[in-house]
Amino acid sequence: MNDTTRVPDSERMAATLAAQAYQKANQQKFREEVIAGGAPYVIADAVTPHEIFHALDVPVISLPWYSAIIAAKQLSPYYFGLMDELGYHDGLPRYGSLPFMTTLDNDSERAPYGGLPKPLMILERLRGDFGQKIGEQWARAFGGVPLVALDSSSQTTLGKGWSGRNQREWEELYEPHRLDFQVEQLKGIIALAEGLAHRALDPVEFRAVMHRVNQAGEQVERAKRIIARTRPAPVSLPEQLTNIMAATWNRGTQWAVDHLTAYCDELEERATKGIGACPNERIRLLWVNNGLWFNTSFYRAFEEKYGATFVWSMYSNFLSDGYRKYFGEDDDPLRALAARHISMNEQLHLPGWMAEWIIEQARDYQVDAAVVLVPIGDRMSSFGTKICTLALEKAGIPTLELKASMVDARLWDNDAMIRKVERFLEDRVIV
Amino acid sequence: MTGDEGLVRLCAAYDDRLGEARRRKAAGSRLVAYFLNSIPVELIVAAGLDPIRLVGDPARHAPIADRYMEEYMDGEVRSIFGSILTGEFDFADLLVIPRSSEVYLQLYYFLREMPEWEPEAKTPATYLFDLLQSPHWLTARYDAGRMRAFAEHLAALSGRVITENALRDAIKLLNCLRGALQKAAQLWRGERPALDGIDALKVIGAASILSPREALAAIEAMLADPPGPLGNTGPRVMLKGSPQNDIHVTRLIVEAGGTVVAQDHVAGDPTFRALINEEGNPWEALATHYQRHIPGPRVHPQSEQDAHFLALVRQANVDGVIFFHDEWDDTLGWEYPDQRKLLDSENIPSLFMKRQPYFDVPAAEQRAAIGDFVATVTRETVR
Repeated sequence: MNDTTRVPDSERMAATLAAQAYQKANQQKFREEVIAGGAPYVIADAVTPHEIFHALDVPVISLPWYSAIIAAKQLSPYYFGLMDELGYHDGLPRYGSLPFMTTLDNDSERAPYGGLPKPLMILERLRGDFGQKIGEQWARAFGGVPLVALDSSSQTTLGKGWSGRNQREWEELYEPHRLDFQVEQLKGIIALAEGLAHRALDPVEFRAVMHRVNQAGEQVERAKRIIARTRPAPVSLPEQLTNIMAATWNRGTQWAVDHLTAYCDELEERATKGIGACPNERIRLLWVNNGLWFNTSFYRAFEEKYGATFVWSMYSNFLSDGYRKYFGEDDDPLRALAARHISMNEQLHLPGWMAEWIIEQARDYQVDAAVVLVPIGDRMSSFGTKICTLALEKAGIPTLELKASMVDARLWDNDAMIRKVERFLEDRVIV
Repeated sequence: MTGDEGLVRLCAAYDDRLGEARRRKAAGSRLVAYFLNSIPVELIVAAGLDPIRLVGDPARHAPIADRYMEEYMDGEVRSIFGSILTGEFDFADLLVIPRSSEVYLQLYYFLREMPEWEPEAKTPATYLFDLLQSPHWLTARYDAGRMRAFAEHLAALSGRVITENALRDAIKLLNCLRGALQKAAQLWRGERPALDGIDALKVIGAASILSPREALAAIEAMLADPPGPLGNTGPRVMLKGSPQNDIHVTRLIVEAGGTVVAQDHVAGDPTFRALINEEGNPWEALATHYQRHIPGPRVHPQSEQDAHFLALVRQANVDGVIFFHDEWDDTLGWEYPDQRKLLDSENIPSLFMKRQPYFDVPAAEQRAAIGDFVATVTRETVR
């Protein structure tokens, strides 16, 4: 999932090594308990309430995480070939379909971690039009497992300033009728999960999980303040992603809070000592939209020649800015959980909210320019990128659009892409 | 009105949709324009307003749309976006956009951004109808709430509160229209078709262009005084997949010698498949109808939709199916492998035309592919 393997251990942050070790241990535990031991687990889309399962102590395999693992292991060309063979045309969305293909392929030798065994359920959120279509076929391919498709209500208005309002004014911001509906859907998931796993959701533990997610988000906010004010930035983007994403996928655990705290402590220490990921940092760049999972070394390809370094990606601060939802001790944490997901995609991918937040990030991180990934083959993630680019330019931030698949290495011409960014830096950024 | 006059009226409305809208506007109508088939027209009628369904047009491709909207958006949505920004839909007192397709939801949000970027553009007021179509009781309850909210919005626009009786009357009227289309379908699906696929598509489309009463009168006239059977007809073809809101592909099939007997997409035969239950609470019946019985990309389970597909194949006695998918389709392609297997099991040949552009169509390639397919099916049928 990252290129930090190419960097000697001695040069990596201790937090990064710890995050990788934790992920490795988790994978080992997943193999032992779920694959070998047959313990229940859930396959879930990223924008779904993992917190419920974390509180039930049921492991969650996140779709984009598994897609990213497949891509990072350079297996996407094989599975996309299989997709073609089975009659799924080459224009279909790629990001979410890789894990489904590992099940249709049914080859545990090839699939990461030996492939996914039959889950307790598949949990989707129907933001786009096709999630239920993949989910139904996938559930059938597993020999019949419940598909829970959370329907996705839509925001009537996208008012200004969401990032300043969403943590405490979420009831008004996300529209009460939508929250009512989402809460009822969540209750259905809890009832089904309890029945299938023969476990009861402990309200005290659930509340604690919800608070811990907010605490983790506070640490991510702290990391932002450190990185934003420190030149050279004390961490590379691939290492940022390793640390933030490990905590994101394990959100709600005490480990995530402790890990992010240690990560921030180390960032502080590096900042104090003047240790930078790119010691000759001259240009700060923003990576807008989804990650380039099969080639995260691209983020560092412009450091040596131009002193240009990516300091931010969409994942750097979503946990802090868009996911924290505070609630009182007398409030229902389930409603706060509902608020975490019902507009996540609007915040990340819709013109208006997306552009507004990205510009805030650009200013906070003092960036000089931005590169926007326009994903090929996953058009949902491409929507809104034009207006975002226009808005960045209007805000005085030179912006380059790169069209590429997030996960399909076959469609990536590394040399051409590097040349594009280099030309952009030379023509529009370096003065 | 004779049958011929009815057909002429329906075809004329289809051929000049915007002209029809402007004429009604000039005559004093308060027009509520909408997209797709998932807007409860019954509420618009019950509020005393005049509904008209709008579509894109491959000939309308305004550069201003491409400034803001990604090329990966459905061509039809890009065309609509451009038409709105350039004032071509300025006759509408309200534009209603359904959530039943992701790209239309995106269209709504793009339009909401435009005052900041194009302050001079005179776009009509827009309303998002947040219809969800997952097959659950909870969703039905949500949709019922959205129906009520939409009704209040329309009432504020018209100054007329929608009463239960007005809603019942509107449901009856629209059911009559659907029922008339069901009967009319025999004119293109029957053993000896009397309407070719082009006219059939126009009749179906015109039912949501003309006011419901006028559309009903024209179709009933046609049913009372039907055209005679077509002359020599070729193999019976179903056109399936992305919405066909213009006659281009249908015409290619007809010109290749095929007889288009069914259109299985959101602008075709499924639009009048189901009637609204007229018993019980009309609000619940309306919400259930639009949640569960309106075809659309988000509707599931797929097995239910495939059963409708197969039923239409059998009703129309189809010899071959042409799957025609939009250039940026990210949804229908997931259904195709299973649907192809269903057809194979019935020994019905099919042609898959994937990733077809909306603008600048490769007509020669399409004509060749369709021609070859129709010729193959003709040989199979004769055999």
